[in-house]
Amino acid sequence: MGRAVTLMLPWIVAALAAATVAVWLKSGTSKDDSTRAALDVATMLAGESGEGYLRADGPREFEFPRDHGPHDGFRTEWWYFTGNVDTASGQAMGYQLTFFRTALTPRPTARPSTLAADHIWMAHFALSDISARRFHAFEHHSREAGDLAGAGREPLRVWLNDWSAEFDASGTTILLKAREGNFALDLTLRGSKAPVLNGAEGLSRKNAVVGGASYYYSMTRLATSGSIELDGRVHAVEGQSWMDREWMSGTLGSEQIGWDWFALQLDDGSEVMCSRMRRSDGTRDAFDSGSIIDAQGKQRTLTSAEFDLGVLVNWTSPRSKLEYPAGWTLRVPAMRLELEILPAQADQELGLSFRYWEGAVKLLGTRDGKPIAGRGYAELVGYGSRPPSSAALRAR
Amino acid sequence: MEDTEKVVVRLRAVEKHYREGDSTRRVLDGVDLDIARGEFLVVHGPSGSGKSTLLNLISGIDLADGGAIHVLGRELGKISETSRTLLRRERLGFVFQFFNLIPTLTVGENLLFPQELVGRVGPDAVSRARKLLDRVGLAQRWSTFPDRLSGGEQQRVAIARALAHDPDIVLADEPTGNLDDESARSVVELLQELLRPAQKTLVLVTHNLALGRLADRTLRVAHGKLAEEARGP
Amino acid sequence: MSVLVTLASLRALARHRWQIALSVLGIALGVAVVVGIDLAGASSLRGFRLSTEALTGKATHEISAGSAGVPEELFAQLARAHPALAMAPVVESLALAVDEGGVALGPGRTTFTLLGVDLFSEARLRPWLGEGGSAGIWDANLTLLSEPGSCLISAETARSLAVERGATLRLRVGSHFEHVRVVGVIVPEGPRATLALKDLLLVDVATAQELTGLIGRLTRIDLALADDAELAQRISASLPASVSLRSSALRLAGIEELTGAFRLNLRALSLVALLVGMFLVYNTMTFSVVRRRSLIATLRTLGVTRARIFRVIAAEALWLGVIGTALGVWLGTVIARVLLGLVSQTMNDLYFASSVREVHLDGEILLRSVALGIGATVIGALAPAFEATGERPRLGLAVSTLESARKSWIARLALLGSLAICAALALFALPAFGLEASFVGLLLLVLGIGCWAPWFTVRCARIFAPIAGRILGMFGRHAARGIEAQLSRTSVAIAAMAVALSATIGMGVMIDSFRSTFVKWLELSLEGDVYVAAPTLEPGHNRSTIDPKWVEQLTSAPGVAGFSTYRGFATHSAGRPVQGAAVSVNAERESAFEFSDARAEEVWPEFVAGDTVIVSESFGYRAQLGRGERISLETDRGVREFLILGTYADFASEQGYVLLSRDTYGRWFDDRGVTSLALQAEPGVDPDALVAQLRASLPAEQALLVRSNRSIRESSLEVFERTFAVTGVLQIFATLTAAIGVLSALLALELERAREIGMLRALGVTPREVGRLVLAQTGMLGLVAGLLALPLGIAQALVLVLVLNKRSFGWSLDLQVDAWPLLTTLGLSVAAALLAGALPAWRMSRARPALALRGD
Repeated sequence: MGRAVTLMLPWIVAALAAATVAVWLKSGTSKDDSTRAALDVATMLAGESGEGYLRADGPREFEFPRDHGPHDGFRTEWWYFTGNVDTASGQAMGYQLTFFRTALTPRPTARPSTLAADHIWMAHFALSDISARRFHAFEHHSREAGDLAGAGREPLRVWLNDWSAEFDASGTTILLKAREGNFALDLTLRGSKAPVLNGAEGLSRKNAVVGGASYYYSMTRLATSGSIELDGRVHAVEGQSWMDREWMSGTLGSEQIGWDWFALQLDDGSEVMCSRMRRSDGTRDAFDSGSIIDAQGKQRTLTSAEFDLGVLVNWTSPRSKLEYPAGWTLRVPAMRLELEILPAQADQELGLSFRYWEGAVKLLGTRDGKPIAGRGYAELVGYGSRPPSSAALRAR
Repeated sequence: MEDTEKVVVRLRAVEKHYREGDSTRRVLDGVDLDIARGEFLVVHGPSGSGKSTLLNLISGIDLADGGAIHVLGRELGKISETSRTLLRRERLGFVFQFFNLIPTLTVGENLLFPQELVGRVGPDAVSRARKLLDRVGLAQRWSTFPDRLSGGEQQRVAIARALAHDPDIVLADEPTGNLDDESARSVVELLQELLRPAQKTLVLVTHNLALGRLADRTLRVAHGKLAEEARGP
Repeated sequence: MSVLVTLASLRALARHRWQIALSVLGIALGVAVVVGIDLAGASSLRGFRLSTEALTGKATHEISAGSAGVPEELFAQLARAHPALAMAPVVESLALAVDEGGVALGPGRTTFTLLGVDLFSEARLRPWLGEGGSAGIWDANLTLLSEPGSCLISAETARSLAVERGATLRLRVGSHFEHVRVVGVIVPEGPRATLALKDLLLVDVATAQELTGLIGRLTRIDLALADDAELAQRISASLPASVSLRSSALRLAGIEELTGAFRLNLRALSLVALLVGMFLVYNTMTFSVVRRRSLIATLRTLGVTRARIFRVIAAEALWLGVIGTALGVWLGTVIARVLLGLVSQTMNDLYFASSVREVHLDGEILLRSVALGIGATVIGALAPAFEATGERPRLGLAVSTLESARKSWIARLALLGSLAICAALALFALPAFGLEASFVGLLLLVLGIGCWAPWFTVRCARIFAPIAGRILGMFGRHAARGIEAQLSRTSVAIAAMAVALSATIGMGVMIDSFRSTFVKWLELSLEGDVYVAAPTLEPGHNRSTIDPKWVEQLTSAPGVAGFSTYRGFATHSAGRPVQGAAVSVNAERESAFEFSDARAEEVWPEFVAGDTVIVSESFGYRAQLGRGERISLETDRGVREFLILGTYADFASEQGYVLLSRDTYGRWFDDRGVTSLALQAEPGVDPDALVAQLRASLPAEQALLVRSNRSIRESSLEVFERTFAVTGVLQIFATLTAAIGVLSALLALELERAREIGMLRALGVTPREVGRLVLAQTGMLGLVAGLLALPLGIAQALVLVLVLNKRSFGWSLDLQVDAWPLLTTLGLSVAAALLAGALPAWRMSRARPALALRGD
C-alpha cells in the first residue's frame, strides 16, 4: 500500500504555514531556519485536529474522471506527478510536479471579498538533469482566490499561477505545464491503465487513529511526451509518468517520524508502489503497505508482512548535511520479486521551505529468476529533523 | 556759620586710598585745606599724585575714606548722593581736560544745559548763554557741534559752560593739558578774567608750573600730603 | 607672542560676561529658530517618507487607477503572464481607531494605515513586513487568511492603544465603522520593520477589501520592475484603459510636493529669525571690538600686525559661533518638539496622515544650521574686525564723536539697499522666477530695507530731537541726538528689531488678508444651509460616500427645498495625481462660484452639457491651464481630454480641484457615490433645527456628518487658525531675538558712554535723571525700529500676499491692512525696547562717575 498520507499531512500544513511566514523572512535567512520555523508551526498546527472536516473513514465509490478533481471538504489533498523521460539522444531526465491543497477552515463562511480564501496552495516543480548530475527545484504558494490557484472540475484542472495540470474529459490524458525562469516542462501524459485504488479499495489506513486514513489512488503508467527546458535549452522528451492522488483530514500517528516511498515501473509492464514507515523506535510499522499492478492493470495489495525493504547505503547532502538512504533492496517473496533500487543521481534533495528528497531511481533485479529492470521515483521524508511527537500534540 | 562766608571749601584730615592689586596706595593721607571765597588756587604735582582725586572729593563725585569735607557749609560725607549731585549742579562748575562738552548738543545748547538743570530756561537763559559765549569770543559758533571746534575753542566753551549757571566754585582739571602753551595761557587768562570780578573761587589742577604764577596760592601734592609753595615772583 | 595677544584679547573679553552671554544667546536663538523649524518640518515629512518607503518596499512601480481601483483579476492575469516578476496586490486605506462613541483613540488621534496584502506575494517586495515576531505570530499569519476581520499590529501600536492579542478594535474606515480582531502582535526587528509597522494595521487583502468596501478591486498592484523599461512598456501596453502603470516614486514625490510650499513658508520665517540673529552677531562683535579699541591700538603700537589682530578677532568670533551654534542646535531641538505638534497637526489637516511624535536629528539640517550659525557669526565679525584693524594705531581713545549723516557710509549703504530692493522687485515681477526666487527676493527686500536703517534712523533722530527737546528739554535732545551719534551701534539694533517686527507685521497682514478673503470665499461657496458629508480620511475614498438610500432619504426629508451633490475623487492627469470632484449644479451652486477668466453665463450651460471641466485657481496656476485649454484626465474609459471652461476661486485645497458636472462624471466614470450633500432649507425652516432633525434620522452604521453652514464656517476658520498657529510661535522667537539685540546694543552703548555719563554726573545730573535719559533713548530706539518696521512689514505683506501665495498655492488674496496691528507693533516695539533698556539704564545710573572719569 501507499504513501503515509496522514503522516505527511502536518508536514504539508507546516510547509504551507511556513510558506506564509518563511516567504516573508528576509532572503538572508537560511532555509534551515525557515524549516525549523516550519516544524514549530507543524507542532502547533497538527494539533488542530481534522475536526469539522470530512474524514476518510469508510469505503468510497470512486468515480473517474470526477475524482481527479478537488475534494474541498477534506483538509488536505494533492496531485503528485513524477516521471522518467529521455531525449532522442538518450539523455535521461526525471521530473516532479506536485500541487498541494490545504483548507484553512472546515467551515468556510461566505465572504464579500472574492479574494477571501478558504484554501491555500503549494506547488513543487523539480527537474533531474541526470546526465549532467544536476537538480533544480522550485516552489510557489498562493491562496485559492481570484484565479490565482485552485482546482476545478469543468474543466478538470489544477493550477497555481502558470503551473498547471489539466485533464481531458475522459480523465485519461493530462497536460502538465510549469515554468520557472529557464526551466520548464510541457508534457502530455496518456494513461494506458485504469486508476489503481490503493489500500482497501482506495481507503489507505496510516495508523490506528480514527480518521487516520486517506483516499488514495494512482495512475501508475502514463505514456509521456513533450518537451523539457533545461537552462534555456528545450529538449523533446518521451517516457513514463506516475500520478498519485490522495486526500484526507486525519492526524498524525504516534512514533511515525518519516517514510521512504517508491513508485516503480518495471520493463515487463508491471508496477510496484510501496512505502516503509519509519518509527522513532526503529521497529517495522504495521501500516506499511503497497500495491503491485500487472501489465494488464490488475492490482494486488501488499501488506507490511508481504514485502521487505532494506537500506544498502546512505548519502549525505552537501547543503543540509542531512543523511538520506541512497540504495535499497526490495523483496516481495510471494511474487518472487527481488529488486535493487538506486538513485539515478545522488542529489535530488528539494531544499525548499519544506525539505525532503524526491528523485528518479533505477531498478535492477529478478522476477521469477529472470532479470528485470526499470525506473521509478522515490520519496524520503523526515530525515534529519525530529517530527512532532504525538505527546506534544496531545499536550496542546 | 560765620566761616561759610569766607571759607567755601574745608578739608580736615582727609584720607583717600585706592586698592592696587594686593596693596593699598594712600593717595591723600590726612589732608587739611581751607579755600576762601574768591580765591584762585592752583594744585600741581606729579602724575598720579592725587590732584584729580582732590577735585573729585571736593565735587562730591568721589567720597573720602577718612576725615571730613565741607563744601559751602555742607559736609559731603553726611549728605545723600542726590544732595551731593544737586549741590554740584547748583553751586559748582567743571572744566575738564577733555570730554568737556556734550557732543550731541550744540555749543549753545551746552551752555543752556547747566541752566536747565537748575531750572533756568527761556529767554533769560539764552541771553546769559549768548553773553557768556560772546565773552569767550565764540558768539558766532552758537549752533556748532563741539566736534567742529578746535581744542582751545572747546575749552573756552567749557569755561563758559562752567559759568553758565553762576556757580560759586569752579573746578578745573587740567583744562590746558591738551593745549599748546599759547592756547593754555589764553584759557587761564580767560578763566581769571571771568571769575575774578564775580568773586568766584577757582580750583585749578595742573602739572603746568607756569600757571602757578597766576594763582593766589599754589599747592603741591606729593606722597599724600599738601604742601604750600612759596609765592612766585 | 600670538598666545599673549590672544590672552590679552580674551581677558578683555572676559571682563564682560554679560555681553558674551548675550552674544552667545543671540547666536543660539537665531540658530535655534532655524533648526527648530527645519527639524520640525523635516521630521514630520521624514516620518511620512520613511514609513511610505518602508511600505513601498522594493516595488518600483505600481498599477493604479482612480477612485474605483484596479480590478483584482488583473493581478492573477499579470501573475500568470509574468510569473517571474515580483508583484503584490495591495488594498490600502486610512483608518481611525475609535471608541464606541466614534471618538478617536490613541495618542494624537493616530490615523492608521490599513494595509491589506497577500502574504504569499510579499516575500519579494516587503520581506521586512514579517520580520520579527513573538509567540503566536506564526499561526496568526494563517488566521489572517482564514478569519475575516483579523489584523496584526506592532507591539508599539498595541501599547499605544492599550490592547492585547485577541482584542477587538473598532475602526472608522472612510465614513463607516468596522471591527477588527488583533490576532497577533508583532515585535519588529530592525529599523525598517519598525518603520514599516509604525501605525500600521496589517490585514489580509480580502479583509482590507471588506473593510474598505473595495470588493473585487485593489488600491494598486506593486511591482518590482528594476530598470527594465522595455518590460514596463510591455506591461503598460497590456493594461486596460482604466488603469495605468506608474513609478512608485512619483506618488511619494507628489505628496512631498504638496507640502513643499508649506515647508518653504516655514523656512522663510526661520531665515528671518536667522537674519535677526546675524544682526545680533554683528552688533556683538562690533561691540567686542570697540571695547578693545585701546587694547588693539596698544597692540598695534607694539608692532602686532593687522593680520594677527584680525585673526584673533576672527578666531574669537568662531568660538562664539561654535558655542552659540551648539547651544542653538540644542535649543532648536527643544523648539522643534514644540513646533512638531503644530506642524504635524497642519500636515494632518492639510496633506496626509502624519503621526510623528519624535524629532529626528537630521544630519543635513544640523550641518546646514552649524554652517549657518558659525558662518553668520564670522561674517558678522568681519566688518568690525576690518574696522578695528583698519584704524591707524593711536592711543586716542573712544571719544564718542558724532558719526553723523556727514559720513558717506550711510549713503553708500542706502544705495546698496536700493540695489537689493530693485533686485528683489525684479525677482517678484518676472514670472520666469519661481517660488524659491520669491523667497530670495523676500530676503533681498528685507536686507535692502534694512540697509536703509541708518539713514532712516538719522532722519528720525533729527525729527525727534526738537520734539523731545520740547518735552524733555536738553535731556530729550541729548537722547535723540545720542541715537544719531552712535549710529553704527543703534542702527544695527534698530535694523535687527525692525526686521523681527516687520516679520510680525508681514505675517499678520498676510494672515488678515488671507482670513478676510477666506471668509468671503466661505460665505460665497457655502451655498447650502445644511451639509451632510461622509467623513473621510483621504479624498476620493470610495467608502467615504453616503449610502444611496440615505441620499434619497436626506434629500426628500421635510424642510429640504433643494439639494446638490458632491463627489470627490482622485485621478491622474499626465501621470500626476489630480483631485477631482463631480458636482451637481443648481442655481444655488452656480452662485457659489466666481470665475476669474470667464463669465458665469458662459460657463454653466456648457459645463452641464459637454465634456468640460472648471478648475480651481490653484490648480490652474500649477498646471498653467485656463479657459479654452484642454486637460487630459484618466477616466474609467481611458485617458480623455476635457475643455476648461473657467477658473474659479477656491481655498479648499492648495493643489486645487478639477470639477466635472455629475453628468460628465457619470459618462466617464463608473463610480456613483456621493461624498456630500448641500441641502437648501425651505423658507422659514431654521437650519439648526433641520440639522437636529436630520441627525436624528441617520443610520448608526455610518458616520455621517450633518452640519449647518455656520458650523462648517466656524470649523473651517478653526483649521485656518491652526494652520497659522506655528507662525505665532515663530513671531515670539523673532521678537525675543530682537529684544536681545536691543539689550545687547544698549549694553554696548553703556560702555562706550561711560565717560559721557560720568561727565553728566559731574555736571550735576542725578542717577535718576541718567536712568530716565537712557530709557528715553531706548524708547526712541524702539520707536524708530517700530516706524521702520511698518514699511518693511507692509512690503513683506505685499510680497507674501501678491507673490508668495500666488506662487506657492496659486491663490489670489485681497490685501487687507488694518491700522490696529500696525499700532500694536509700534507699541510692542517701544515696550520691548524699554524693557530691554531697563537693565542698562539701571546699570548706567548706578555707575560711579569718579570711576568713569578716572584713568584718562
